[in-house]
Amino acid sequence: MNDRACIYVVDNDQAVLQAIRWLIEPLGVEVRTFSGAAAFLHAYDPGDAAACLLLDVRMPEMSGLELQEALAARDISIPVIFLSGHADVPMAVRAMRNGAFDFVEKPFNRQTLVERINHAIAHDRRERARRSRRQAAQARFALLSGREREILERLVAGKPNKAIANELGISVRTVESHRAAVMEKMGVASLAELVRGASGLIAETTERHR
Amino acid sequence: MRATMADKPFFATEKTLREIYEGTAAAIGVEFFRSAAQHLASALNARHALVGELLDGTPRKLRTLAVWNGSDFLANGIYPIDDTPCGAVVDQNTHCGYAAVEETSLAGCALLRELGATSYLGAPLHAPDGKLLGILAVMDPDLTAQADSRAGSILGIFAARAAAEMQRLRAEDALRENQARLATIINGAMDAIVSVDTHYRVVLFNPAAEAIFRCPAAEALGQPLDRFIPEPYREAHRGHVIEFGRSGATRRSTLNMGPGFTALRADGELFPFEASISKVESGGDILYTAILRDLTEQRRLQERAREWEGQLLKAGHLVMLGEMATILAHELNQPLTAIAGYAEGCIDRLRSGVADPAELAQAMERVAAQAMRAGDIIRTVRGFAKKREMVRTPVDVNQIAREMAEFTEHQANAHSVTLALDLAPALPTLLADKVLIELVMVNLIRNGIESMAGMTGHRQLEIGTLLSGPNRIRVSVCDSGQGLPTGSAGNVLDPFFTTKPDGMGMGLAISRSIVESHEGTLWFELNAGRGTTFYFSLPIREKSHE
Repeated sequence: MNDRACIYVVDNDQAVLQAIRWLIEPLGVEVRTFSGAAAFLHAYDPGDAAACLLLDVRMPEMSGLELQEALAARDISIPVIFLSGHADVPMAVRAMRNGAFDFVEKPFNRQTLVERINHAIAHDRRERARRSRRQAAQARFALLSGREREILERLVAGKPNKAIANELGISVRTVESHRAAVMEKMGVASLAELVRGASGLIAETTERHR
Repeated sequence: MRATMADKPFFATEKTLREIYEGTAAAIGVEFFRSAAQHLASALNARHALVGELLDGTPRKLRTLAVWNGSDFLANGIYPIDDTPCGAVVDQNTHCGYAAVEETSLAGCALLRELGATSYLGAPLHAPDGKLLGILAVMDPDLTAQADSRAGSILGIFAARAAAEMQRLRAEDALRENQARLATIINGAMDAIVSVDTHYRVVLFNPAAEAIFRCPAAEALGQPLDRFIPEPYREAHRGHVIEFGRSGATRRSTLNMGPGFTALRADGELFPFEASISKVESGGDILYTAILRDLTEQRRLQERAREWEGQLLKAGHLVMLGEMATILAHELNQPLTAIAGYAEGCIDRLRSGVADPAELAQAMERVAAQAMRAGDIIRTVRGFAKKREMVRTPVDVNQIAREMAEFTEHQANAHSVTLALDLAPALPTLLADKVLIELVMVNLIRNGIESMAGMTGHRQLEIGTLLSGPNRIRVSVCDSGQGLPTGSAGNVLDPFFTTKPDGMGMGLAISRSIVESHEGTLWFELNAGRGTTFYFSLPIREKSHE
């Protein structure tokens, strides 16, 4: 993890782009501006810095809402803050339904914008952390043997060692040694931690196998 | 014997002259031809005679007008004349006689056979221009003795008279045909056709005139035209007609009578019209004929079209207001966003002490440039809107209320809203800009209708007028809608305040500014039950106080 952040701005109006850059550069973040949705899609690289996208609603060619839909279609996860002129309720509803992070009316004051940006960056940072933890857990889960996965599933379901031993037709002692190996491989110190980390993964795996 | 011989021609001549006189003088038309045929036969001592007219086309044919068989007239018919003595008359274009037709190559005549005649003497009938009209002929079982020059002369006399009669009949037919055609035109015309004589009396009054003036022809004919001219114009119109009669012109339009000249129906109704007058002189008398069109319907349609145009314009104004506000909002937001961004960026740098003067100067230059851009946008929009000068005229508020209720009726129906009017009688007029007051009225009515959208129960919008003070008229528009969100009442009249999902919030702000420009006030009250009532009151100003 690092503290770096990148703010993407897409607006067809050069003056607005420059002003936003001037306004938020003092935050010490990287600001990348694009005058159209297509240019942004072409240049976007998830990288490892937390990011957010300030997106104008009304643009020629591809509107902000269309860009938002294109991002979803490409599985690109980045918090989007829409910038719009006078409140257009149906448009805002559509944007929020499509998972927009926030909605800021033009013209905006610095404080409002900075707050929203900070929220979005923090959100993205959490999302990125969650994603990377999950990736790690997935990698560890992949190391487990078949028997170890069976035991992990039952532990997560809250079954005591004895019940697991009965169910699988093995001794309690064997269950205990498998359980130690699982905790070792998943890199957790307590049963509680194991359950918290593994429940999502198991549900996902079961879903896939169904 | 000599004497007898000498007498005979005398008597014959006297008899002939009598036959000529009796045969050609008395009758006209069909009777004339019969008489001519009968007397010609008698004059020439022939048993049979015929008069026929040549028909156009080939093969050549003769239509008989009279055929005398010696004791009676045969039914008339049409006979081909190729290879007949009549054909020979036509070919040679002079009188021809044949003692024994059957010995010539002209034996094809069915009529000769029918009559049992063998000899023939025929003459062509000529129009004055030399055109061949028909044939006059006598036939006899034995006519040899008569085929001499004397017989030719007698035949010539009869022929000349018969040709003249035939010519006269043809002219009469043509005239009748013309008259029938003219009558069809006059009777079928959409326009009134009225003729007067030199005594200004009606001599022609067609069915369209009966309908337009609501007067039967029988009542109009023979009477002076005055009853169809409004009293103030009667003198002038007579003068107009007399002057036209003396002038060299043959046509003229009633436009010369000046604008506002109307005609008068029999039931006293005045109506706008246009007419053209022509004159025809015949035998010292002058016939004036006016072709007149009732413009009532046309004027009504024009009026209606003008009204609609006005309404469309008004609707257009309202739509444009909304659209212009949207465009203005979006376009202005861009430079304002940039200005706010640069300015706050500057403040931020100045406060945190990291301001680079060159950088700040550049940012401020951009602020200035964006402010100019905003100004340009406003100038452009204002150019579109072309500020309108206020035009104050006496305005009947009740009339505006009625008209605007009618204008918005369609929208009310679409929202299942009943429009009700509660108008104070005999309100004085106001001096106001009618279009603007209409705009306010439409705005309030539409707001009311829209505030009831999505509601259950009875939806009524009542438009009321009231003399609310010695010189103030108050208009109210009362809805049974949702009322206003709590806490927002104070903002309702502000620009951009709206409770409508797609509203711009400009309507009431514009309405207020219009009312205030008329030294009036606009306000609203929440109803005791439900809904809201919007009011505006305007001062009554006498024109003399202006």
